[in-house]
Amino acid sequence: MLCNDELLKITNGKVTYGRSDTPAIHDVNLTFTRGEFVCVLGKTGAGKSTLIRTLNGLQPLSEGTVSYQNQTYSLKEAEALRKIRRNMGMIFQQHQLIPRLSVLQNVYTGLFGFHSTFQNVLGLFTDVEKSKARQILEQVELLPLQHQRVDSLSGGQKQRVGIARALIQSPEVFLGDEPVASLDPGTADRIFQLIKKAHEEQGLLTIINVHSVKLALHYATRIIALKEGRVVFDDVPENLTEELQDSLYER
Amino acid sequence: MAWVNWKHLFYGLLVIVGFVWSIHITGFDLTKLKALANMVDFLSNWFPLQLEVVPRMLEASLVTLGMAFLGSILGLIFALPLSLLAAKNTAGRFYRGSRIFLSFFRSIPEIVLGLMFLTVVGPGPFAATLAIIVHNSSVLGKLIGELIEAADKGPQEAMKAVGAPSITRALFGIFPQIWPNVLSHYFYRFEVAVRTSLILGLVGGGGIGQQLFIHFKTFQYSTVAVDVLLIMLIVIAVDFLGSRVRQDVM
Repeated sequence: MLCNDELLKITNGKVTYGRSDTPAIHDVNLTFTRGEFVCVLGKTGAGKSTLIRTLNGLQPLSEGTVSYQNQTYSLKEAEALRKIRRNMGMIFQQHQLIPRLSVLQNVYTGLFGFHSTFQNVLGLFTDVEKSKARQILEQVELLPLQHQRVDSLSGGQKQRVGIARALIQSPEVFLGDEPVASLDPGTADRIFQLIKKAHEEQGLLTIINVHSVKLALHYATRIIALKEGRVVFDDVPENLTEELQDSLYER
Repeated sequence: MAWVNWKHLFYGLLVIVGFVWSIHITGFDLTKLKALANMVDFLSNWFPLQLEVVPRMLEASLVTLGMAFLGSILGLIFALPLSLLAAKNTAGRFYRGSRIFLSFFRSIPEIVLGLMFLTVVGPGPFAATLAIIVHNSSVLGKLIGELIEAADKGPQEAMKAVGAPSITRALFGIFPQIWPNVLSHYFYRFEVAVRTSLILGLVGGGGIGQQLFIHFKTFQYSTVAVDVLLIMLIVIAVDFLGSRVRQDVM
């Protein structure tokens, strides 16, 4: 795996929602390289979610640019954006699985970016993809539940399905928008272990929003802290002093 | 006035005015029910039932059931793509046009549609079925469109995030979550289609509705009774089937 090659870059990023005067994020300049495990900290409303969502174009920037492997993308070029997105796996706080479908079927939906609608609807996946789905389900310890409907799973299990759906994309970037915010600390830690393992095995760039400073300090190789939409800290975890932590969460 | 403001009072007054006016215009007069004996007299003509017509009327009932099923299921099939064009979040610039298109067809009474198709394909169940298809496509198109608008954005975002093509996105991000409600609407429309096909019988649409109309006009009340019983059976059967399927799908 190559190290230090620039994968994702956001330049002068600014997002303003609707007619609001205060931007959700502003003056954001960040460069992410392969192999980094980044945790984004900040209190509710600091712009963590907005930042993550700009990276795969779920949230368009009001000003500035985002680029992936030096290719800038905008919502207008739907095809190009689609191809970039399929290289980025994303997991969400509320899992966002497809209800009524089974665990295995939900994992297959991660392949949708690589096939036509015709192939997707008929479920025409290759044998390689099918065995990969099995292998990933084994990895997230869900193989015995593969034919169960996702609605019947626990929160932690659902999030593991979310991870499996992201991993089957063979992504280069792994994004997480508060993926453990609604899980108990033990389950949250298991989820992070799982992500970390996949991260290391596949040499991913991982960027995750998290509320828990403890988790961030334990897993991240780089921490970005946001306050009122601005990056106020961007460094290795060791340099995140207690004072800085306090100032992040005060008013 | 802790709970009530002037607006509430205004609407309350409006309801009362409407109520009084409607009593006046419909000749709603409960004292007239004194003549209830007339109804008993009329209904007594229905018995004993004319049982030898049962096999023939059963056949006519099946025609009715067929019209209602085909009309509503084809209506659903046409409505699914139409609904995507009638929902704000999926239609884009087609939204207004398809909304107007659907409400135009929805506003035409089924009996008028039936009469129009009659002139093309002649009297019979086919004309009635066509009328039911057109009406249900537009009704279900609108109803499912509203379900699409209210659907949870989460799975749609997830499908965006994996880079799915736009039609895949709609199919998987939207339809699985609204499917039970789609079926619910469908079975209700199936039930309504049974009743519609009875009315369409009046204009030569065939089936048990037409038989009912003929028997009524020729004073064969003991046969009318058989027709009515069969109709009630069909409606109850469709209702039962609908609730079973809905339970199963939840």
